[in-house]
Amino acid sequence: MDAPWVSVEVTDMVSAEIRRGVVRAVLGIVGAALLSATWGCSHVAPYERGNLAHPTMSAEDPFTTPLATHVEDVSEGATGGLSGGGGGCGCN
Amino acid sequence: MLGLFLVVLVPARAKAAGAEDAAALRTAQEVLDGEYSSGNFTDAKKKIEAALGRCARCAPSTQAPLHILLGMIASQTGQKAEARAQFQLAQQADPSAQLPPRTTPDIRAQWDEAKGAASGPSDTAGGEPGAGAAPAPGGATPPGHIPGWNNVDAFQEASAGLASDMAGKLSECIEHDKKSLELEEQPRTRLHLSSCEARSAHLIDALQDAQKALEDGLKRRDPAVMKAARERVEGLLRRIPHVTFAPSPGLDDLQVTFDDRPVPPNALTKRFSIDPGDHKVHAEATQNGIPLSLDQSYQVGEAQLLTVPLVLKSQAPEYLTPGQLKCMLGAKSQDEILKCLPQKSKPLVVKAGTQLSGYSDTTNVEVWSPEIDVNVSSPTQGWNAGGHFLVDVVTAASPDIVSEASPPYHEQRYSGGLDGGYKYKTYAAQAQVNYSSEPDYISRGGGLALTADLDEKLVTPRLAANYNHDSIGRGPNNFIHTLDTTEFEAGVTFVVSPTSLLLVSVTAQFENGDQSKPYRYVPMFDPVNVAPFIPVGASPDLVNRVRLPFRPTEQLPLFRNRYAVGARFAHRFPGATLRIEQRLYSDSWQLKATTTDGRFIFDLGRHFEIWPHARFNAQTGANFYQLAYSATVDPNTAQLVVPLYRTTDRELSPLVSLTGGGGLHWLISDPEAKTQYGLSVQADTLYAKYFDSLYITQRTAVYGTVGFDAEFE
Repeated sequence: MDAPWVSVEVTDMVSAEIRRGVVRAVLGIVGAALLSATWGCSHVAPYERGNLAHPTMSAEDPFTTPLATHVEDVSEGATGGLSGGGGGCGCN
Repeated sequence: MLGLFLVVLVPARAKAAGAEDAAALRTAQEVLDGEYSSGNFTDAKKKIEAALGRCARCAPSTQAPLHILLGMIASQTGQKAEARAQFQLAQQADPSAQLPPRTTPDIRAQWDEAKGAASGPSDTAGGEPGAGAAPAPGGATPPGHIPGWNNVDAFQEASAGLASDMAGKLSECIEHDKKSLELEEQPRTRLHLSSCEARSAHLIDALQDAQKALEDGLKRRDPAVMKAARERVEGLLRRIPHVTFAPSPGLDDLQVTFDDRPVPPNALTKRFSIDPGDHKVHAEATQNGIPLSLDQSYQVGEAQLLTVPLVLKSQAPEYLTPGQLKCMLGAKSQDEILKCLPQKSKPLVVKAGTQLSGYSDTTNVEVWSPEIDVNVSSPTQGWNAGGHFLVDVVTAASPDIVSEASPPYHEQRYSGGLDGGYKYKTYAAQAQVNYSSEPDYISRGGGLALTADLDEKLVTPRLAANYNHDSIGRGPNNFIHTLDTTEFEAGVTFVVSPTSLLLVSVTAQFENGDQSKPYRYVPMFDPVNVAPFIPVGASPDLVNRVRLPFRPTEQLPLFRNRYAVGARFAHRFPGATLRIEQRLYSDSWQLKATTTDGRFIFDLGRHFEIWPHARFNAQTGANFYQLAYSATVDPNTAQLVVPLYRTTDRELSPLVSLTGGGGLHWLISDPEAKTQYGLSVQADTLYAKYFDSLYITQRTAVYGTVGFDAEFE
């Protein structure tokens, strides 16, 4: 049964929006790369990295449980923004 | 030509002289060709005076050249009166004595003064006052021009260098000679510099300068310089000590400095020329992930070959257990150190955990979620593989459901995933696939992430791409929509200090498809008499009383581009770790958000960690979100016209949320035990305030997790 209301095609602006989105993403990634290149890293010798090897110093998030992640996903309109690894402790 | 001087002067006498005469003349010849030519006047004077002392019964004609040499040395070192006195002694001993060729104008002038006659062509003895003449400090040099020199200042600096040498001030000698050479290159000045450097234990510099003097001597065809420089080079080559390094096997990222200068890693086993004296070696490396270092001082003598064994040990006691430290301190070789490291005996590490999570909120939604996860890794070979599986059991009777006169529903969601990765040297790749299923929603996804350890692992960039394909249904096996999500991530982790690291990242997510909820109906209101007056938080009863009789389903835009930038900062204090995150978000639905998250983890002894947690989120609403949507009648077609996009999703409305809670981890086993296991508890309370929403204006949720984790070989 047809819906008793009028609907309008909503895909006409998809291509333009995706193009704009790709441009924004590329600009963001380039910006992050520039930030990386210009960052004045201090030299930390391997034998000074004991603190960085502590499990709580992971660049990833070892604390947020899957349920907490799910709760955040469904109760907040935002997503993403924190993606990284490493940490320089010299650990595998 | 100086070397010919004695041969020219006393050939017959030398043959006729006795043994003492012959020895004295031989010494004079050697000093003239050696110490004097190279500017080492101190030693030259000592040798000639000693020869003269042994030559008391020599013939006067034998003593004359010795006095001439002493006079020349005195002239070169600025002692004009002494020079004249020595020349007079020479002339008295042998009236036919002559100066050697190519002496300086000062020497010739003093020689003439000693003779009491004006200088004449014969005094030069065929000398060539040109290139290569040594300086005569304090001499009667014509103003503005020094024969054999182009630069008066250079001449004066060289003269000062000679005077410093005579005074035993070798560092000043080096300084003056270098200044002179900067102004004008003179091979004899460079030889003299080499002499001062060699006596200051700077053999490397001395060798380089002697080699340079030799090159100049060859270029100028100056046999005296060539001979003296060649002998100097040969002598220095015999005296110079060397160092080489013996790296132990199994060291990664080995970096060695010798006296704070880096040694090329691929040339450690070569021999490097060094100066005699005290030296220090510093080396850093990792072994099975453990940072190791070496700091050692050495005293090196001339001609010695120093072989430095690169046996590195841990300098970070907090990183190792006391037992490991004791073991390493007692180790004699890198192999023995390796045996102290736990990773060496861990070809395979298994981590497993299980969790039970629960959620309940004031909108009568409850979730129970058991989960298991397993990960196997080989730290030495660089690979890892893992998987996880969870079940969500949901019971919901929220106002959205109640408002539609639907009964509470129960549902199970099953979700699982596999992941694996491999690290090769400084590069790593990690891939993952996920699948989740519930009666009316199936999601399939996968992704790949690449990381690299740069700048000695101080900078770790990460690039990742993920793709998800979701099927959205209305009832079991009745899938009516699809949603494709492509996500790109770029992040970099920086080691800011020995206790801090910073992650910055951006993500771009492109959603394409209809993600409207088939069960979500949107009430419509009269645009003039009702919609403007619907209050925030209007109850389901009120909404149902005043809404229009039809309710279209939710309709969201078919695409959504989502962008976020974020930063995570972690700092390790003594006995505590602070972690702070900040995210800024914007999307093509004009929803903007800021999220701040922080944890402060305290160590309570060696077995417990406890932390408070706080999170704050604030956002604007999507550009199509309305509290009360209106429907109108098209006068031409008599059809109802509803807004193109419509939703009652509160998470698309303006809101703020605050989460507070904490957690505890209890390491039950001994921290040094091979098998470690622990228990963790986390609990949070979320409060959300909705500023433009139907049915409710706030929501409070409590959720938490109890987990058990184990790690064993």
